Amino acid sequence: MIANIKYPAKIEYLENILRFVRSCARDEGFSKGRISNIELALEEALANICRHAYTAGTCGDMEIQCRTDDNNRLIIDIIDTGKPFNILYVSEPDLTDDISERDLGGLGVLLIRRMVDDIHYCRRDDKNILTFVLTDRGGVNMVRS
Amino acid sequence: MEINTRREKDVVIVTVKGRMGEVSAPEFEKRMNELINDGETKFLIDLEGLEYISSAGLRGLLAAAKILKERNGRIFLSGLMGAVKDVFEVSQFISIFSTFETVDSALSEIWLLNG
Repeated sequence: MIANIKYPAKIEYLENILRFVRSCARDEGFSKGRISNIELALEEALANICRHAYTAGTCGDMEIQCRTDDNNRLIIDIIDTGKPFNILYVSEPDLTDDISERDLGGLGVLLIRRMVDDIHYCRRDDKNILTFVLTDRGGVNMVRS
Repeated sequence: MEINTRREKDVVIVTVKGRMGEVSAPEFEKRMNELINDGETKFLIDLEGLEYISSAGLRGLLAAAKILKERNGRIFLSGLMGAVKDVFEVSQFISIFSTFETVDSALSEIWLLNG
């Protein structure tokens, strides 16, 4: 399986992409719970592209490629042509239970890391390529440390 | 996303249904800010009908909780389940809010705390 979709990097197109990936994951036999995990990780990554990848006044695209590899893993590439940015360098927030001390930032990255089985970043041909690797098709509790 | 509010004595019960993601979370934040600016301080947010929450939704909740803390107010949560509960656990938001299974059990506890 290989499929891709591309939209301008605007929040209003988020739902179209999520629908596309939901359908790919469903076709690949992922459980409802796992699809929800994928959707969440993807929304976090795409929201980040929409907000930060392109400088104000310019608008580039966000592109998604879904494919299965030889090991039957679902691979999702999230591609933008904005400024170089490796989301994996963003540090995770301090998970203190003190409301005043809790940081509003960094939650997106934390959720991405917890929702997918593996994650890679590379900068190639002036593109940011963030890759989600999904091995576990679901049926068990997704919370993993 | 659908937001409904009602009052039980001194508690504003905010019922959120559907999806609280990047697109819809600002609406929740706006509604909470209006209520806080009206002087409300005690909130029970019932998430039983919520199917999906992203970091945008979590930030909205945390932002409201931060303002309320300064005003000696507080947010209680009820009805966390499924994928939404998982997100609260992963982000450890579960430990910054008092959570209850149902609206009724939350209200009894809140009023007990009031003495």
